[in-house]
Amino acid sequence: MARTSLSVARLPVDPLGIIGLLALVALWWGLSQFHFLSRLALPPPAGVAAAITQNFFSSSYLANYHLGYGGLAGNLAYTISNVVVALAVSCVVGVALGFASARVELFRAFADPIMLTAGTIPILVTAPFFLIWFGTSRSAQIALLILFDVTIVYLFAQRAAANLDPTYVAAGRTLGAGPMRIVSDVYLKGALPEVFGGIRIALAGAWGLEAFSELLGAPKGVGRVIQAMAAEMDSQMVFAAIMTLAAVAVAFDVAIGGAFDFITRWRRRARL
Amino acid sequence: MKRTTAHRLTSFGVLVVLAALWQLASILMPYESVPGEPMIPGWQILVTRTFLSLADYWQGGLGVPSVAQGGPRTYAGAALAVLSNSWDTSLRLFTGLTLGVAVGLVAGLAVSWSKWSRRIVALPAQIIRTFPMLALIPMFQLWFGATFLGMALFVAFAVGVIFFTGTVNAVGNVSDIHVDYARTQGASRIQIYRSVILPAMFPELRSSILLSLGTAWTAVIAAEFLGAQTGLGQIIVFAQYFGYVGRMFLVALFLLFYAAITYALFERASRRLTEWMPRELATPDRYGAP
Amino acid sequence: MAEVELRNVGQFFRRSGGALVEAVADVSLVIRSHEFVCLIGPSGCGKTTLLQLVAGLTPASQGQISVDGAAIAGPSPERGLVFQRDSVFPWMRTIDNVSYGLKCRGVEKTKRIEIARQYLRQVGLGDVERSWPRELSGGMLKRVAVATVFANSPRVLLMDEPFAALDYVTKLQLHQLLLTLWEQHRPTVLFVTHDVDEAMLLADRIVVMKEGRVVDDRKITLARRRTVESLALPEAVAHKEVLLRHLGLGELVQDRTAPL
Ligand SMILES: Nc1ncnc2c1ncn2[C@@H]1O[C@H](COP(=O)(O)OP(=O)(O)O)[C@@H](O)[C@H]1O
Ligand SMILES: [Mg+2]
Repeated sequence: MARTSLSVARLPVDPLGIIGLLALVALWWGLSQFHFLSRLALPPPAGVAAAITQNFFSSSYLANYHLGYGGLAGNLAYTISNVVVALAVSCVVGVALGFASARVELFRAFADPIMLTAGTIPILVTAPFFLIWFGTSRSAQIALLILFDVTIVYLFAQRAAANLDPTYVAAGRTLGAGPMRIVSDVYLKGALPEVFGGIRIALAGAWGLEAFSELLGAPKGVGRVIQAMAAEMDSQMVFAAIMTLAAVAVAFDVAIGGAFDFITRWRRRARL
Repeated sequence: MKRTTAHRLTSFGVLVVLAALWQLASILMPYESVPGEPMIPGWQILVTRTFLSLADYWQGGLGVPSVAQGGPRTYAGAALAVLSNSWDTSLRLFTGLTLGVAVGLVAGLAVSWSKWSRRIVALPAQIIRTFPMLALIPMFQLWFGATFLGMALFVAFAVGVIFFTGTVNAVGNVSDIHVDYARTQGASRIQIYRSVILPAMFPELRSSILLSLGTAWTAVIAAEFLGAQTGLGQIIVFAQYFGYVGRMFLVALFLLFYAAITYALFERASRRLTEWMPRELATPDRYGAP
Repeated sequence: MAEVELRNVGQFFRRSGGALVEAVADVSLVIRSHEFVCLIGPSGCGKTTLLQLVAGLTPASQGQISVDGAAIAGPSPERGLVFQRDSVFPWMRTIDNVSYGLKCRGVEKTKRIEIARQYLRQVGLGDVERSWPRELSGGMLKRVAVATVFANSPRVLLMDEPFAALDYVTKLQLHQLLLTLWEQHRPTVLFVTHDVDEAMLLADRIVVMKEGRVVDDRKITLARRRTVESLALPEAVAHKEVLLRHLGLGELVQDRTAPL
């Protein structure tokens, strides 16, 4: 009886959740029909969808504002690449430092206060400094994101390594695993679920942060589109940019979640 | 207890080391961002000339004339400038935070009342969690202008969304066994909410509160970066525009100091509410606010 | 007076895969007033589900459950339940936990504290009434749970493997405590266990479940406050042999020809 669970097709999402999503769009549409939020200020969903399709792959309209001929997609590519590069760097650095701090007490004594301070401050205050040091280049945004991502990944990696049951390390040793194998097969694999949790949190915050730092000054990117269109009072395009960015953020979140479930499929799932 | 004292001491030591490194950097790299403005101003400049220059942001009054009206730069003017701008920033922050927390919590609890409504909002809530909230600021400025209302509402919106999703999640994660246990003892729906759901969700809610606090700070700074007339964030972007690194650094330090104080106050306040918890639950992380 | 009657009770669950599981199937049972019934059976046979039905936590898919002829409607403090896992509220001090049911019924504060205190003393926890649950051991938490149900003076007491996670000595101590409280208050008891010795020590009657159904129902007439000696009497051993064979442990029984 119990073994049939895989053969029966299971809906990946709750149909009631879809209803909720539709209700949200309906609410948006309803609000956009009010006069006190005139058409200009809160564009209706259909208008935003049209703006997205018309300007997605190429847009002479956006090109007028020095946002390139690649349309929304071209600017999206810039934004995504910054977020991904920063995250990749932060994963390597954050995991390495996190593991090291879990093992070496002296290192931890030094790294923790810095990382914990950096993790709690509103990272955004540093954005103007990066603008001064790097100008309005890609480096300014990436530096800000790395600062944000690294502190989160560091903390989760550290906690994962510190919480890892020492029995596993001992068992690995008795089975003849050398220090490298212990790190790669025990620490890395055992810590993966928590590190992934950290990556997911970092990524969720990174999109808004990246867009905002582009607003402050960047060659291109979704944030620049938002800024330029807001200055033109073209709220339809502002929303088009925000919504495509939001869709990308959700897609990444789902992908990361799926990868997480796959890589950590050995985990016992809570049966509710 | 000994361990925390040792920890505090090392933390303090590291901060001192960082301050010293800054000083060293200022000596080794004597570049200027604009003529007369060092790129990395040493502490001796920061606490004198730089602090004094903050007097430029005093609007006048209380017997201290503003620099714009031809008054001299005085320490009193600088202190008043810091105080009045801090006041503006905190008012925006706390108005928004209070509003956002209240609305988010009430809406979250209301939605959690029935299993059906909880399922309906679960997916939208999950999606909204990843929504790039900071990108919405220009919209808020289109709607409300760069006013107190606009900024406070933006903070409230960002905090409210986080708190709402956090509340829905936390209620969903309250262990069934405690609800059942209360039911077998004859507790009513309201009694279950008061004596089971609220206390049981608090550990999880605590991270939402901390996240909200961080988000509120970020939101208020972001709002002030874009076109506010007063406030600490506005001073920073204004100074950046002219390349005054020293002023930026000093004001950023004030902001960090205030943020640290709000965290410490919250920790204090929540300690009593979490007295019952096993230790590992009682220290949530506050990470994730950009 | 509390006679519990189950008539053709059944319960279905839909697994997350979509398969339908019949956790309890057509169970009919009458438990007389003041009777101490133990329900035993292998893991997954539906014991917890049946107990939750009687508690009223889930409405039964089929059949009726009544107490003294009145059909039950939802959970009620007159049918107290001690859970398999720890259910004591970690955010309430011991005394607040024990008096919680009384509070729900609107009993005035000094009165309910007095009652709770009396039961806490009786289970031997008079000195930890201001402690947080995290400061108590597993056995102490069970004592708190027992004190809590008895403070509600239930007419029916439902217990779901309450002592399964405890060490041997603590478990035996709690058996004696439970019997003392039961002799004083005489609730009707339905006690789920998969421990044959525990059932033999406690029960007036042992009901065996297998795959959702009742497959055996036997009276244990051994004199009360059973001892090591009385549990070694031929009558007791005969019961135990049958029960073990029900649980699939026939190889532990010498006489394999006796009818089930
Ligand atoms: N909420 C539920 N959803 C789906 N199946 C359940 C649920 N509760 C119990 N079951 C199934 O019902 C059967 C009986 O479970 P249970 O009553 O917990 O057994 P026991 O307490 O005797 O070990 C098991 O096969 C279990 O998987
Ligand atoms: Mg069970």
